[in-house]
Amino acid sequence: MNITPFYELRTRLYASAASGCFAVNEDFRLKRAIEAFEPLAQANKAFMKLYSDCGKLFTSEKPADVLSDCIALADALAVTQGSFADSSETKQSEINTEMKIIPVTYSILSGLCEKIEKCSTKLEELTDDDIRLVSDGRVLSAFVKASEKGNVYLDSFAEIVIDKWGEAIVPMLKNSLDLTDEKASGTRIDYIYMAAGEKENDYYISLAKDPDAPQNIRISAIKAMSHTPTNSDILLELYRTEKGKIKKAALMAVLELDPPEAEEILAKIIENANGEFDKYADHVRISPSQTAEELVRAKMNETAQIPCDKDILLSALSIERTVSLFKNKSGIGDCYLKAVDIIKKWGAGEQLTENYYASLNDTLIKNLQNQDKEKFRCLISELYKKCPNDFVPAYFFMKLIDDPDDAVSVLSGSLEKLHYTVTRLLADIRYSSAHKAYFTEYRCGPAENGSEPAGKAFLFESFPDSLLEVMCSLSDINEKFYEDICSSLLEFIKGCAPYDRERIVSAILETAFDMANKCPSYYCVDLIAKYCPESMADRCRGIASEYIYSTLITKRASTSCSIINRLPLSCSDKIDELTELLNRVAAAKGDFNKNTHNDLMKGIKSQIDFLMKG
Amino acid sequence: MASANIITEELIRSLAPNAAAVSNGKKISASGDFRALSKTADEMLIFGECMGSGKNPYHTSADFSGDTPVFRCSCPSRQFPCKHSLALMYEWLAKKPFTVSEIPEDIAQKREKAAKRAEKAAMPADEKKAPKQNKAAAEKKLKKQAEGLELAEQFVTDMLTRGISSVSRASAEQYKNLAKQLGDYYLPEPQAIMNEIVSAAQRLSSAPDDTETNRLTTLCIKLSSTVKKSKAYIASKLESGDVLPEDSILYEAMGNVWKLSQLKEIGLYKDNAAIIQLSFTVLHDDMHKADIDTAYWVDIETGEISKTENIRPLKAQKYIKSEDSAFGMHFIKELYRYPGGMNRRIRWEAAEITDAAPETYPLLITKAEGSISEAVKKAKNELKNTLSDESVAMLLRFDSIEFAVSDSHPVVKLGGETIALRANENYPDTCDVIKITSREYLENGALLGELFYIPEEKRIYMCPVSIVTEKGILRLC
Repeated sequence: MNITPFYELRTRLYASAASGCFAVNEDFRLKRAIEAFEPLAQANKAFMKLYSDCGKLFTSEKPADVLSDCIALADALAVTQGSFADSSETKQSEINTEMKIIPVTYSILSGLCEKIEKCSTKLEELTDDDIRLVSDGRVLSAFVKASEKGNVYLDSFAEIVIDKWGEAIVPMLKNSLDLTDEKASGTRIDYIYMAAGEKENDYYISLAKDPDAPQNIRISAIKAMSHTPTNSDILLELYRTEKGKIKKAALMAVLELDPPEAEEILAKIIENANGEFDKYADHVRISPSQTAEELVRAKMNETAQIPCDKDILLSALSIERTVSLFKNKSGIGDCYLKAVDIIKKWGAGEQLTENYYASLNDTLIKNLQNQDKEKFRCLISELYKKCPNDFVPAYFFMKLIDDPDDAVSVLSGSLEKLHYTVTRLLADIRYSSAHKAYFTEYRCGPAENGSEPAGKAFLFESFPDSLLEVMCSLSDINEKFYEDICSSLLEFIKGCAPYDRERIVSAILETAFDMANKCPSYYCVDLIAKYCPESMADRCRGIASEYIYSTLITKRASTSCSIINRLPLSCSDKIDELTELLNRVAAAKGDFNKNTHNDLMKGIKSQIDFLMKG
Repeated sequence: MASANIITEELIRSLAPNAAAVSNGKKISASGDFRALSKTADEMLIFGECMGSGKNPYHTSADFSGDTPVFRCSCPSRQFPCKHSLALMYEWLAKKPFTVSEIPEDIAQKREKAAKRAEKAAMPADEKKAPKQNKAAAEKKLKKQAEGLELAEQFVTDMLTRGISSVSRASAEQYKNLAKQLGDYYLPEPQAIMNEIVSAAQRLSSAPDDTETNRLTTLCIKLSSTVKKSKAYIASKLESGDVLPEDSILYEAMGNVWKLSQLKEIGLYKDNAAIIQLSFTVLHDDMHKADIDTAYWVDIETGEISKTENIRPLKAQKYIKSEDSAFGMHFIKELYRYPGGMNRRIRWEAAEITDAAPETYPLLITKAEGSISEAVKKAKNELKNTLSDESVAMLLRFDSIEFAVSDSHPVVKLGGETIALRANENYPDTCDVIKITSREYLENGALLGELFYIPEEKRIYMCPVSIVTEKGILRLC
């Protein structure tokens, strides 16, 4: 039986409620709907009730009352008429993994899912329990949902998910792709690549070639294709036939893969740039070709001509730009050496040169992820042989991922420079509870804002004593690096394995005490305050006051005295120390700005008062 | 009797009213704000002073001498236990030094009072005076409610006469004042519905939307039904003189709150029930401005699906402890059941919890509905009532759950029947979870789902919530 007139009547009743039943007598559409409904009403008792109630709408003194009854009845009838059978053609689930039933409470689960949905920084601080939950379908679903957004923290979490689920996650990510959403990001393709790599090459190709697929998805697909040399022809075709960002993505992929045609394309780009660096820099940077290497060599020669003793800034800018082109090029050892020569000529402050050495080494380290890594390993070895002090970070890194104990031997003996850089490299090593191993990232120094995420290299299960010893040795480090080093060591402790913590904390504490005795800094005192046990309280005497006083001397500033509260000293010891400090500062009154001096005196007195009340 | 040595991270989390309190407690402990940490020699009481935002420190204690820990703090917070109490426990957990001291005088006195109260509570039932239900007060309340219902009826008439789309700012103000008055007539539920209708109608006047208009119409009709049925209900009770609450959903529909003693009085309880939780989630109720901790439970004996609801108004969230998932078999001496049709609300005071035996799960599958059409029929009978919820939860057996080739939507298959699964407002993500569920869980099990009707499509769908397998319960939310 066709009951369309019933639904039409229901719609008209709702419309009457929306517009008001004060004018129901003029509602001809409603009247027509009721008339059309009559045949159905004749055939069915329940419909007949509705029909007769609707009739009263036009005669009742309380049409609103009648209308509400009619709608209530129409709603009830609509429910009873509702169908449910689904005749769709179906197929079984393709998922056949070890999904587990995990008895986890809603509060714990929702806490983790919230972090995932927000792509929170806290995704880098997951506990073992959190990681166990990755086997739960709800967590996985939250990840798949959030994968559209993606950021570095979710990338880090994605590694854990992929570790647990492997390629099983690929169908889930594929199903979640919305190819009708123009604004779709390509992040899910990036994750598919992370999970399955080249195995999904046909899939990437199909997306890259699909003119209706969203732009960002196509770009990510092209990026995924750029790791497989056999894709060169397809990428060339895309470069020749597409426009805009797709064309650019295809071009960059072609340049990276470096088929024979790439040389000519690159040469043309450089020629058309008319010397404007920014127009060809990205292309040259990504290309490992002969043309690119020659250009870099020419640029380096130009930079070497700049009389840097007169114009160091111009020289520094030029070298920075040129070094940025070194990526992916294994045949430019001479350029690296030339860069070192230039930096040596500067004779400028250590910090400036330290940064540029770090930059050179950073490029060498990143290149170790290249498919042709053997060439880059040889390059590092050669450079280190010629200039050991200048390339020790890259060489050390390379040795570290091969054999940590062997790496330590690289650092034995005195290091005139770059020991600070190396210490930073070591302090960046972190423990992954998902992989049950320490790892480092393919970079030299901290990640820059907006930089591409660096790949991970997994090293060892337990942090070797030999490396810990190096990290804690200070003999070659300039005191001005103490603050940064302590800050790095604090981060290192946070990132170490639970079973190594006691040993590591004990060693680093000794380092911190040594530093505190020579030149106390905020992070140095902070480290001691965080980790010094009560049994070593005696060693804390004088540290806080020395730090406060040295801040006054070196920075001419008054610093907060409350840091002393965090040290495991007794109340009376703290009061004694602060009293002594007070006298010392009082005696030095004439040496400082009056306000600074007064602020510090006030701060010390207030702290003493607080302690005395307790 | 326990001592402070029972303190663990898990205990602190379970006692805390919410996650924010745990975090605050940890921060206070880490910042070193506690002084004069002390304990009694038997370690049943720990106490200390905590620096707060005020001039004087707060006196905080945790007493483990009774059956349950008792927390006391002089801070003005009404949260219980407060963050200082939680911080005190973290101090203990961090093994900070606590000096042995005598019990403070005020705590000793409070312990005495608590002991007397416990003594009184332990008295046999016949020795206790059962609370009398005040008939005169009940009658007075009913009459007042009847008056208020007239106002609500006037509102509905007005809305439907003038039209839901025509609410202006001026009329909205009048209606809001009218809704406010309902508070004086013990009608909080109709009041909440009225406020929702007025606010939403006002928004509609600047941004017309058909779907929203229809939703408001449905709400108006619901309010109208509530008013009519409640008026008739009250009239009948006043006429018969039987003014005390009875087994009727209208009692709550008007906004009254059941006490367990009332439910017991009218026989709405079951002795010696054995139930197991199938799902837990937190729903947000915009209309009542509250979060509701909602769980579905299944009675092992009958297969009946019931639910628990812990309502936490947003304004009072800090002071009402949130609930959480529960696992294992719950044995309950007296299980109270609220009036209603399917999925009745249940409550209890105490439960004995044990691990569910392995044979529980296959048993649950046998208790599930064995036919999709029968399940839908029962659901329709419930859904067609204007005063019922918008969905009905049922446990339905399935041969398999598969996925449509066209758009991957999940489909339940049982015998030769099928029904499509679709997300609803309460469980927006469970269909996504089912899509990534391993095949082993999608065969020969039982699905707990909410059956609901979509008027625009004229169809009944099921929203998946949990899957009962031979080995356990796979929660999808």
